[in-house]
Amino acid sequence: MSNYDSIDHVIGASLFLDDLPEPVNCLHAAICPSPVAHGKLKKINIDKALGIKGVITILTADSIPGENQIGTIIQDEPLLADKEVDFIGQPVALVVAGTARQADKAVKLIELEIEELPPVFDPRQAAANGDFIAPSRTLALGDIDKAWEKCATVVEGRTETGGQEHLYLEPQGSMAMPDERGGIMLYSSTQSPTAVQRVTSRVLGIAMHLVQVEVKRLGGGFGGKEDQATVYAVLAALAALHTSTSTKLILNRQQDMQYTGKRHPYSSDFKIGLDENGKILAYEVTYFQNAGAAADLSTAVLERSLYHATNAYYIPNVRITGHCCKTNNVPNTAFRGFGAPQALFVIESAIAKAAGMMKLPAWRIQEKNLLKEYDTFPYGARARQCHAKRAFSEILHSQKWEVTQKDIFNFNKNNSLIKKGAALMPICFGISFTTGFLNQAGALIHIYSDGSISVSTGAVEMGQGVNTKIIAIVAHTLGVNTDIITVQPTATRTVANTSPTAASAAADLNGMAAKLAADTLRLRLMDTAASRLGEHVSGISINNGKILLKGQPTELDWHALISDAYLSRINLSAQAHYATPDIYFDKNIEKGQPFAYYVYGTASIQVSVDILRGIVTIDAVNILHDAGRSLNQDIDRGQALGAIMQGIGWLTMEELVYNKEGRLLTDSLTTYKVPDIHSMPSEFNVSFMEDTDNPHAVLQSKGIGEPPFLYGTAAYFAIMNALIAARPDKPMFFNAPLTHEKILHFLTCE
Amino acid sequence: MIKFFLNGSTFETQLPQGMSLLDVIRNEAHLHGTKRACGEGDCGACTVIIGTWNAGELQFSTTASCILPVASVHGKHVITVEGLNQQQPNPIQQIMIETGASQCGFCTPGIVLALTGFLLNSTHLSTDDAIMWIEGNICRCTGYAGIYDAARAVADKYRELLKNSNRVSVLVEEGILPTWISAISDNSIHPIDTTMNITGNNVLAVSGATDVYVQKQDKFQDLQLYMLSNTDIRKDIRLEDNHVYIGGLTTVETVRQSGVMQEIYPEIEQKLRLLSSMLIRQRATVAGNLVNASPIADMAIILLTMDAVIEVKSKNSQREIPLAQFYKAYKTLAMEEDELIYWIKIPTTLNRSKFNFEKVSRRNHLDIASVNTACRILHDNKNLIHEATFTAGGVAPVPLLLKHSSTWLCGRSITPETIRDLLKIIDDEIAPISDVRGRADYKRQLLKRLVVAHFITLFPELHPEDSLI
Repeated sequence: MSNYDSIDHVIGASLFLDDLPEPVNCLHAAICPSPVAHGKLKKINIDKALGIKGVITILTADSIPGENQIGTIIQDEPLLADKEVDFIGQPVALVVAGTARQADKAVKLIELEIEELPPVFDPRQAAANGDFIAPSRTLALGDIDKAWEKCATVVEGRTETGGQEHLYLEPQGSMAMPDERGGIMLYSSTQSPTAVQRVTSRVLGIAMHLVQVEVKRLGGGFGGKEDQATVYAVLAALAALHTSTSTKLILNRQQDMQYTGKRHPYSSDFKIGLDENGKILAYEVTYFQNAGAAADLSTAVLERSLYHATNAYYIPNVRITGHCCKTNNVPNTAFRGFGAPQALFVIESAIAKAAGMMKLPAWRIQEKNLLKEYDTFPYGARARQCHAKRAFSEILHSQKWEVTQKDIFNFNKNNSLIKKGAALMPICFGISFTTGFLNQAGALIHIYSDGSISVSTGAVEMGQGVNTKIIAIVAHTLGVNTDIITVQPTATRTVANTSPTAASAAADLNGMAAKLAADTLRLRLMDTAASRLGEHVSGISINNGKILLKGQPTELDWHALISDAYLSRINLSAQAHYATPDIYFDKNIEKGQPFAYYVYGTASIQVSVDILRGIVTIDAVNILHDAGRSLNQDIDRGQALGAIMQGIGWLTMEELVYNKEGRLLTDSLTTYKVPDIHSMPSEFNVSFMEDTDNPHAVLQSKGIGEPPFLYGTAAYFAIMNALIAARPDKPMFFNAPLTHEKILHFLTCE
Repeated sequence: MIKFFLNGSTFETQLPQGMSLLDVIRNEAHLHGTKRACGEGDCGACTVIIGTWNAGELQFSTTASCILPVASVHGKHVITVEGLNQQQPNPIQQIMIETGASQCGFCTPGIVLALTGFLLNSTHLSTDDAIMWIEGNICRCTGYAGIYDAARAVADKYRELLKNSNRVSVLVEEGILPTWISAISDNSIHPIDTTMNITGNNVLAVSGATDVYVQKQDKFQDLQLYMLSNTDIRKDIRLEDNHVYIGGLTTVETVRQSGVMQEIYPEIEQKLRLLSSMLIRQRATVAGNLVNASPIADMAIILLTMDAVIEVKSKNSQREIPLAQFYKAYKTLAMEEDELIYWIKIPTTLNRSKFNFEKVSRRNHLDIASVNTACRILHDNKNLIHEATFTAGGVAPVPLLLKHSSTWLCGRSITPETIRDLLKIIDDEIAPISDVRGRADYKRQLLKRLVVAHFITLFPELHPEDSLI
């Protein structure tokens, strides 16, 4: 089944936030952002701005009836700056006007009096100053201090990974409508309707039941709308409350790029020790995470970095330390992979550097240290249904890896203008929110009297195909065709207390809740069928819209059964709740089992570097991925390929450039470059491992959204291998993104 | 008042003529299939088809509606995804569903329009051409695999069918174009007033608008637009008196496909694919690229090696300005405010020379150069250089003619030593600055490598790389 939404997508009928009909007299809001990265906010002069035609009101921190606080994990971020500004783009005031243009015009006339303070943009500098968002954390396994002496090779180094702009094509936005009894109805382009509801309720000082949030779909999210959609929804709600008029707030691209958080840049130190055979005995790493000016989701992102520090390897002696550093950048946020890609880059850099030292190919070290069944992660959990070795060896085989290596060697020997390089990347990604309580979901199913079915869950559709999967689960469970099922917009009034659509777990959690609700309905309907047919329920089944008795068709079909059930006053609605079992974590000892299961796989990436011009072509990407029993291979393949390209983009062309005042210079698609269709490798394949059941998720499936992002890491090391072929005299460096500029610098400088 | 056909029906708007077409489509016509995503023609989510009457024939192009002033579609046909839709998804739409070309759906309608433009216009109907027609469409979800498969499938399906036939009628028959399109006859909308004076405040002369409108749509809403398309400036290419004449409204894509230009520089067809995207090249004019005066203007860098001369006219005068004297300082032109470019003139005798163009940017396609450079070399069979012109962009406040280096090269023979010395002279002739497209030292280094690339490309038999890199 292709994506449930794709027909509406191709005819342009799918409605996104900015496509919803605007209420009559809808007002438009625009944000007045802080122009400086750090300072004391002395005065906001709105007199001139109020003079602009069409301006209704201008709101500041003083206009907030409830709490001026939008922080979720840690409450450290005001909605509108009060007394202090901490990053460029921080909302200071909100202009509400008749048109977006009038509002934009007025914003330019707001005068801010700010006493500038010295800003910090370097996480190591912040750490040296003692500026942390939260206390630092350390995970340990074995006895690392004693392990070093057993090592034949010990290598130390430093790595940098840059931030990444989400660049969902649909910018952030929201529309708020005043409701009866002082309430607010919000349409938001958010991955977290409940977070929007909760924070709006807090800021407006009204109970959650008076704030209702609805999300039809997002034009891409990638984590960028998990926490950071909230602020625009709350601002629109605040405006609607003050004006008693519907208000819309939609960012344009440059505003979106300037105001919103990115993937966290990390600066890291590593030390790795191996025995003479390439077995890793010890690994020590320290992450300096640039969290930006407020917590947002940074502590959770860092937590996942800690858990994924050793990627798909077993290392007996480990010490992992993470610092969540407070700087004057925009608060950074969730982005596909959620800290794991940053951690993976460090361990892979360590392996690459050690390999260079030991004159071994890196893939030999990777291969030698892969996780096997029951190996212990640094946080105490054990690898289960572990396919790390299998995926790696199958890729070695299918890609004829050793032959490929020889071919590349020979090619490079005979070509001075083009050098080729290749790298393998095994991955291991844990599925579950590391914040335990978030691993719950709800679903509500109605069967209408004509037999058609409406499903609501807490999952937000953002192109990842979660609705298609949920339909398949419900159809499979009820024994009906998919075409009589509709998934409703995600709404706080139908399914409450939802977790964000994130962590690659939306289909797992919401799909399981939907399945439980469908199970309830199926049992009820089988009872109905049994009494109608005068048979025992054990003989009844429903398949393909037919009611079967001991496998044989009966007079009843789905429509007749539903009609019968309705007339018999059977409840044709069911609600269900699912909570992932058997996950726990004790932060006091930093041990536990935070994940329901793990996803494995291996990528092979080959590249060509034009040595003269210093430019790269990605030639081939081949992946073997563990998707469990995929709920929909087409959708999972699309997710995997999209994630890989995003991962390659992060480590190659996507570079955030700031001036020394901290202003983002790459704030448009002209200057911030994401992969285009010409960036697609000519060989670009994902295959799924056969027979990899997963008892820990719905219908034996596995989460797919994030893990494949990690494969993109191979591109960095493949390019690096090509560069080393050109300049064997130079050591590798680990500073992503590996832009054309850095490549030429490496090739040409002594 | 601006009046045009929107999906087959006349549409009038009282909105300012400088308003973007996208705003009119979304906010006034309330058609929401055309998406707003970047506001600078760099993502293709707002792609529409524009039909223009030309010599009794309706010609179609695709364009980014976010950077198009609505005044430029006066009297034309605008087709959005809603205009293409039939009872069922059409074959392009159906193929996109089947290949998984759509995930979140925000870029999808733009790609449908772009592929329709491909079928209407592509000469070869090859997969490569299909990809070129959608190269201006950014997708953040799919990694392009499904989109690539869709483009290939569309090309494969219609390659034979569209050969030697009336494309519009075949596409109508196939359900790709709506039936009303074949009923269109020359229109009755009168051209807007063209008597406007172009000097003075609040008047902006606009041709393709692909540069001037980038991120600045709002600024121009209150301006009077002087639509150059309503003047007698030409948009074709002529051969006359041993010169190629490129019209002041001729698009980059027209130059790319021009046979007479390929006579002079055969690789220009391939090389100009590095200039923006098909979506933009169909509107962007060569003259616009010159007057915009960006220090990395690709067309300026190429035309400077072609001894191009610009013919400008004002109300009362007419004169020629060699392109080599056109740039006086950063964004300062040797052209008066009331002058307009009518022709860009290139001597055809240049076809005895060898040309090369090099461009490196952050992303290999659809990007602005970090550094670009072109060269023209006329040499004899002993590799003695008789004429040489080297240019470089991104290394000075203007598109730079490397005068000193070019002069120095004449009379020398091509050897590794000559190239090495040339690089030193070039190094003295440039003054790059650090910006988002790269640090100054990178640009310096990159230009040198690209100059070496000129020689490797033009004189591969000499193997200059052996001693130079």
